[in-house]
Amino acid sequence: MIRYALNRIALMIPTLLGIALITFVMIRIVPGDVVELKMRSDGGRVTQQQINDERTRLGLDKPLPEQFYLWMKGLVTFDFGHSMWTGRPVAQEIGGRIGLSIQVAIMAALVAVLIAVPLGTIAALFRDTPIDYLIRIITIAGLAVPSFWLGMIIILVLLTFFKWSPPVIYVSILEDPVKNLSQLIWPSLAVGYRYAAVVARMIRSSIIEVMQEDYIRTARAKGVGEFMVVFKHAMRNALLPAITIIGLEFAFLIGGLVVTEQVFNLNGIGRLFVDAVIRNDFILIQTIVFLLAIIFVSVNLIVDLIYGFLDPRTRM
Amino acid sequence: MGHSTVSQKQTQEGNGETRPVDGSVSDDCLLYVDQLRVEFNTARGHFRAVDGVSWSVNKGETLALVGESGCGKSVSALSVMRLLPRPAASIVGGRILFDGCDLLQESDSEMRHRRGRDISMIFQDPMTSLNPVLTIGDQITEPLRNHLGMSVEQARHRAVELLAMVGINDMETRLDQYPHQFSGGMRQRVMIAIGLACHPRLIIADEPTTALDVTIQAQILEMMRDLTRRLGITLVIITHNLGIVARYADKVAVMYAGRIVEQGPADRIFKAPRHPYTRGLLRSVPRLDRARGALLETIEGYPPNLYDKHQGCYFAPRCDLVTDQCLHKAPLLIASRGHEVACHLSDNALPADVKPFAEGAERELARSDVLLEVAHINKYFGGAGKGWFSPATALHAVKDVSFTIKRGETLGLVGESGCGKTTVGRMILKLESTNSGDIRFDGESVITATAARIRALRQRIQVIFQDPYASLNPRMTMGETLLEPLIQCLALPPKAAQDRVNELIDQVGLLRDVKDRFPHQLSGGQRQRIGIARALAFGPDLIVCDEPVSALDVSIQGQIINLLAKIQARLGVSYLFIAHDLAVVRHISHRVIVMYRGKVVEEADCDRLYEDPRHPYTRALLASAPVPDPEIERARQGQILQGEVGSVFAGHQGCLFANRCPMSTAECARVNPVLEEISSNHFAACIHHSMAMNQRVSA
Repeated sequence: MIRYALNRIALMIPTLLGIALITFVMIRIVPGDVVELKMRSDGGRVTQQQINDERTRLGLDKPLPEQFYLWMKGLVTFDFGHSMWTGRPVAQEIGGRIGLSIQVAIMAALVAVLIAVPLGTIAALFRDTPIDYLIRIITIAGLAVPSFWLGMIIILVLLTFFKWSPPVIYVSILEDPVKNLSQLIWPSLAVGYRYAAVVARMIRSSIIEVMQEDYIRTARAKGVGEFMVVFKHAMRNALLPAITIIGLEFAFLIGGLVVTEQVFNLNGIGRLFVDAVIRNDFILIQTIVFLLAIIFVSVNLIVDLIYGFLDPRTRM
Repeated sequence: MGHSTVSQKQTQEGNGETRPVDGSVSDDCLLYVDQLRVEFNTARGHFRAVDGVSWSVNKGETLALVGESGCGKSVSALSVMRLLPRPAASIVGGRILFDGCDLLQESDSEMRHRRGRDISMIFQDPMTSLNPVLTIGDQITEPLRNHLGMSVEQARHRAVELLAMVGINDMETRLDQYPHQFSGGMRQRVMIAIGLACHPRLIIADEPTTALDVTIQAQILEMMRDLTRRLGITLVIITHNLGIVARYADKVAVMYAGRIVEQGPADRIFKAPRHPYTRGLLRSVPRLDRARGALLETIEGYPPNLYDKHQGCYFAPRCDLVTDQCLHKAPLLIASRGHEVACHLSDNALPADVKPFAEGAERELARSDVLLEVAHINKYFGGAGKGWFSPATALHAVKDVSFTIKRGETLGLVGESGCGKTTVGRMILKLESTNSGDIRFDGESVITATAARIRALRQRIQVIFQDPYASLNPRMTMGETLLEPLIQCLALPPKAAQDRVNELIDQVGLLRDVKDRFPHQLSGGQRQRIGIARALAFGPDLIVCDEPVSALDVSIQGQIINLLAKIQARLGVSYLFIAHDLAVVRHISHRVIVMYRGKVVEEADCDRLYEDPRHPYTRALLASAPVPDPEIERARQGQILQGEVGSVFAGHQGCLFANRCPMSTAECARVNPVLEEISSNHFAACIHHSMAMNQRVSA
């Protein structure tokens, strides 16, 4: 098991390097220049000399391979550089916002699992009955409704019917859990609904499949009650494919919070990312992309390790 | 409904002394299935899978329920457990009396308490019947804790006993392992341990050994018989293999198309079968104890499609003795002296043997030039390790194997699962690389051939796979399947390609309307015929037949083997016929090779090998193959091979068979036996033979 984990971690390195390289090249191919944008927005006249000086200061005049090398060197020594726009350290810019995004993602995942597992199981056990049809409607709606739209509806409902709106200023969950949760539960629900829909459909089909397996028949032939047949014998097997989806969606979520953060006016990583892209802030963009890549790859690793825990056949 | 069936039964049975008709059952009777009717409602339609079937089994007896796939034997057994797939299947009539109680009237919870405690069931495929994510211990102790209320320690203690009882060593460690750490035979032992756990009164075993190797089959059956006798457990074995039944059953019930066609004491059924179907089944089992005919006896045709409405006897379309009466009136099950037959003709004594054992002209061939030459090939799996931190142990799957196949010749390649026989076939097709050695097809090396040459060679070397369903594309009609290679590879014009498809379909004995069908609309035998037609499309010189009949019913097996023999006689094609069953190979092969754990242990001309097997493993294989004759079977007891086939890792010392061999000596564990010619054209790899010969020479 440990050997397997080590192997997987070793394999992460080339993956991440590839991602870094592609990001680095791609943002530099896109037209637009942070220095010009920044100086022009300040108003007034800018000389070519000033632009060149600023470019030199930011290291943009160096050849591309050297820039890449410097970035990689920075990453390894945990020196991520400074935002080209605000001039503040990237670590600070991201650090202040990533917590919020991860919290929303985790809460959304919890919401999703809590809804999806029972919903998917019930749908499978009552397959092709009105109960199944109802759940199918709920899940398909979840897939069809965009989370930002659902987010807007949630805010409107809270405002018009309850005359209440969630707090606007973010406080850490450690400082004031109530205030924190009353702000973040709504985006988590909005995002978690879609997430739940995806997972529930997966669980439904995988339980239906597992319930036809020979070992389920064996369990029944042993006189195991139907409840235990489902929860002891079927569930663990059925969760295996669902876990892959839960993991993939989770990683996807953090990157995909951009729109929802706008709707709920949250100052998270998604919003930072959008701003960075608008301003062509290379350093910030490439660091955020790289961070998301690390999260994505790590979540996948965790999923595989959980897989190994649940399924003895994959243990080495 | 109940009343009408009872009175009907009374009239049927006439004066023959039979089972009870008034509903009371003798005290000896443990299970009495009475006029059971089961119907299936599926997307394809509605059919009656079990149609008024009655059978019973007395305490301590062993009953065998025999029939081909789809005959309703498993369905009637699952009905006893009330485990039919819901909602597709429903029991629409009849009674199932277990020790006097009608199981069909019991509530779900009463039934649940019976399952695993009063009645246990053992299923066919041990690979899929155990839950992969739960430990063996958990799965064995579950019924003990559920039904007998044992504590964790008590249950574990009992589980250890059970594992010892079914012959699994190192019980404590084994309990904490998972199913994938067990071999197929071991898993079936675990299944039996689960079945025995609560000491049930009845065990129903549904094809308990079908998925296992021959030598393991014999072990498992022997053990089941001993345990059930010792513990006084009644046994119902469901099987398609009449050979198995011969050795172990007291009573036999033969089913066909959802009805019982014949039932009675085993001795009587085997000695004097009265229904033409039973006779056909008995004759179509390839047998080792009878002279080898060129063609196998078979039952022509296929079992009826139960979705369609039938009139008369279901077996009539395949019956040699069919009369007008058979086509219009369904025969009733008539009993006389405990032997029941459902046939209009059973009153008239049937001729002793309807047809003589088929005598075809022995296929003599001008065995001249060598078509395929395999020289000292080796194959390792794994080894280098998948990751940087993995260990490096190589599995030596094929070990220095050499043979030749001449034009028009059939070489039988026999061995148990994991012996490397399929790998050899795949290496010849270059579906698998070869680590060392050479394979020459018609003088050209397959190993060093370029990709383009291989594509050309593969038109001359074709393959037929074991599972005819899995090897056909489910979304292509048979016409499309056969047309594809003709148009893609041979670039035939559409008209010519169509003609060729028709010709191929005729050649394999199918009707041309099969072209519009999809694989799921065909029976297993028909699918395999398509597989053969596809292999013939290019007019190949060699066909690698990888277990082509092992997934088929006995009566269909013979048809396919005969078809292959006919095609060979007509087209002069060579076969490499891979099988796990020596009896099957015998009827089609000119030469036979026996493999064990990657090595060839014996090679000889077909007749020689069966008359005078020299390697102890070949002898064991021959002894393990069941023969459908109780007298022969009883006389052969005590020749069962113990132990299991292990895997061979590189660097093994001594004879690979030594740990299971009855003749094994200390010498065997040290010396690697080599394949030596012990008489002309007869090779065996056993040091006892070379020693015996040396002594003879020196004397």
